[in-house]
Amino acid sequence: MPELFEDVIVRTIARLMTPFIQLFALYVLMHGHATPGGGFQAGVIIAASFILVAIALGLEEAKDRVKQKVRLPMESFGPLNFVVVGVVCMICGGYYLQYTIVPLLPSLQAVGAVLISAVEVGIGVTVMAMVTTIFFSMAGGKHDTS
Amino acid sequence: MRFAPLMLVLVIGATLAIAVAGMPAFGSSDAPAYTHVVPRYLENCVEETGVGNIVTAIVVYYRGYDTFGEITVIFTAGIAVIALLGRE
Repeated sequence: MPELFEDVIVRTIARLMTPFIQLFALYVLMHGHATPGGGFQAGVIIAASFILVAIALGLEEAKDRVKQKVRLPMESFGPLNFVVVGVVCMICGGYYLQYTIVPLLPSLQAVGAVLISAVEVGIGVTVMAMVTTIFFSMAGGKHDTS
Repeated sequence: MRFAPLMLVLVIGATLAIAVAGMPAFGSSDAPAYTHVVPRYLENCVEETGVGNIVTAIVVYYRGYDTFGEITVIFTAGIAVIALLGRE
């Protein structure tokens, strides 16, 4: 097991910046329909914040913040969410993923914006869980550097 | 025979360099890629989808199947890593 990076500046800055990085990721996610951004980008930014925690504060600390029990359902949430939204559109009489056919809100544009945002949230959750899991799996292997 | 690979590279390179002259100018709005479906997206995006960001509209609405495939690829990649490297 490699030694932790014992530097008070690095550890403090990493601890301070993590919530702001995650807040920025939420902004990118929720404004994906109006400004540049979206699910893929937001998921990667949140995953980057957990990778920063893993590098600066240790792998165990990062695994403690986003537990595997939480990540496993999140990994399958995105594709499932996509399929559910698409099938709901079919049930309402449209094509698969024809969002604006759903009679959820009075305005056609509002329905489109809401459902596109819902799909983006699913994408973000899955990308975040997957990138974090891949990093943890590869970083947590047995070190044999003798 | 020693110079055969070099000659091959030079011939292909010269062909590509000549072909570059026939491409549309950089950033030209008359390029074939921008004259097919892009004007339709630009005109109808907000009325049809309700989102102002055309990139998001294309990714999630017009190309919804493609994005569904992408998210499935990421899901499959993660499952493969979990299966190969084992649980943490």
